[in-house]
Amino acid sequence: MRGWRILVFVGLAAIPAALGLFVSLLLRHELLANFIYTGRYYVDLAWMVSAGSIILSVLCGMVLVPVWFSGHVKRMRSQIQADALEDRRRFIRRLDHEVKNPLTIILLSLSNLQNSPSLSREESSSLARASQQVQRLQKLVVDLRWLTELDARTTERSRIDLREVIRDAVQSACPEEVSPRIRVHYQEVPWPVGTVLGDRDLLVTALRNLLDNALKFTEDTGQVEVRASDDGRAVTLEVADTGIGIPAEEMSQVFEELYRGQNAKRISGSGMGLALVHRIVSLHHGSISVRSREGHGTVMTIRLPLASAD
Amino acid sequence: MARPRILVADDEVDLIAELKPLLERSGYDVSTAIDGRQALERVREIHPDLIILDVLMPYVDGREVLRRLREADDWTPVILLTQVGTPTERAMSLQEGADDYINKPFDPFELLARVQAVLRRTQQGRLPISSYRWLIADDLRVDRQGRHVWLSDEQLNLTARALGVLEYLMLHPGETVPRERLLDEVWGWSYAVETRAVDIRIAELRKALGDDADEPRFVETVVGQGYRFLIAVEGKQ
Repeated sequence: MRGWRILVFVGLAAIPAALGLFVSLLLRHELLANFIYTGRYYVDLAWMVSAGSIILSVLCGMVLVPVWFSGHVKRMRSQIQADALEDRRRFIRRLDHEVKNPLTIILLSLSNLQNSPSLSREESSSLARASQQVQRLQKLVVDLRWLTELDARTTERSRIDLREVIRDAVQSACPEEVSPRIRVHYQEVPWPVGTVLGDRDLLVTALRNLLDNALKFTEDTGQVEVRASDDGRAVTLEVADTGIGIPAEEMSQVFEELYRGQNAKRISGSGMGLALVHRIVSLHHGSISVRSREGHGTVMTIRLPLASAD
Repeated sequence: MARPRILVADDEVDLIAELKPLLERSGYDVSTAIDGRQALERVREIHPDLIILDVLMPYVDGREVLRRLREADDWTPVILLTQVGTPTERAMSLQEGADDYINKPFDPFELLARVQAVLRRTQQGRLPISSYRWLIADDLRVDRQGRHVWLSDEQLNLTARALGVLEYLMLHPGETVPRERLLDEVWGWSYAVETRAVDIRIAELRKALGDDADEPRFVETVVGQGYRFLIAVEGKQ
């Protein structure tokens, strides 16, 4: 692919030179007049063609070199990103492997200690707390590993109605509520929202994570909305809230694993939710973006390509 | 009645030191080995009723121990302690002749439940059901290799996950399998995914099997606990 691009560039840059050569040959064999009378001056055609060729070549170069260079930079950047991702995966696999045995031993030790008949009430509750925290650590390690291993091999690909995805995500985010705190707006006219290709369970997980965040960071009196629309090329899913918002300087980091915002630290969470959403959306060849104002609210926007009609 | 004998093989001595009392308290006689070679010797000496085998061990690893046992026509039930993540890797553990596997780090009570279930469903000297290509329950047949399911003579059209759920339930007949375990084993991940995802696949399965949730023939809902495959399952190569 890269070889073809270079060939096209060289070919395009060679056109003015070839044109100049062709005109020179015509002049040499006297197939063209050497001078052209412009009305006021006689212009030497040979000089004009040579100068024109040089100017055209320079112009082509000025256009083509930046295009080639930007393509090169893009390729370099994606290679660096792929290498960084692979490095991170390798690190997490090692971490996961090294942490598993100690965690298993701690879980077994706590279980044995909890069975001791001579424990006081305080000791029992200390052990229960330790056990809970180890389980939290265990979950974090498992989730981190899963996030890095999640790829096309572990996902399904079927035609999905986003109405079902929204219904399931809302129900699981507010399981007990008769009228959930979440309002849903679903485009019906001029056409209903189309289907997308992907993994239903993963999309429910992604949307549910966004809803969990929106509910967590919004007061009970605030609002959370899910909006689904279709512009004929892609489906847009938005989760908007009137919550605490994200500081502008932290916006670029919100999709990183284990990142937790300064104003979010007092609220429980693992820092894995948005990284997971980002990974799921990427696996569906979609994009995710965030708009937010601290103290006013946040809008998370997912765009997913529509499934083709056939 | 004699207490069942369990051999625990793991190169982590601290893990053995903690696992041994837990199993003993639960009514088992426990022997231990700290590498694969020792595990094979101990099997010959004590003829355990069940072996808990770590996969990563020095000299001879857990998988090799399992292969050697099966090659020698020794079908002592084995639970592998694995470190692997994806469903494919896990499925390989079963195809190599393990009766069950549990991923580290595991909940101690989950391990005890697996030990009880394996001891209950396996008969000494017989191949574990997971070693067979075909699973058969009355007129229901599952081709595990070809990933096809037949009911009577009709081939069923199931999604990969619904088939995975059916396969897992049939490999654990009569055992109540919690939704979380199904998520972990079939989906390969349980992260923040509602157990409702399992219910949706069970509904798909029941529809394909023509099974009534109120009067189930194949898959029963155990309220508040999970799902159970009701009919006896036979294996066939």
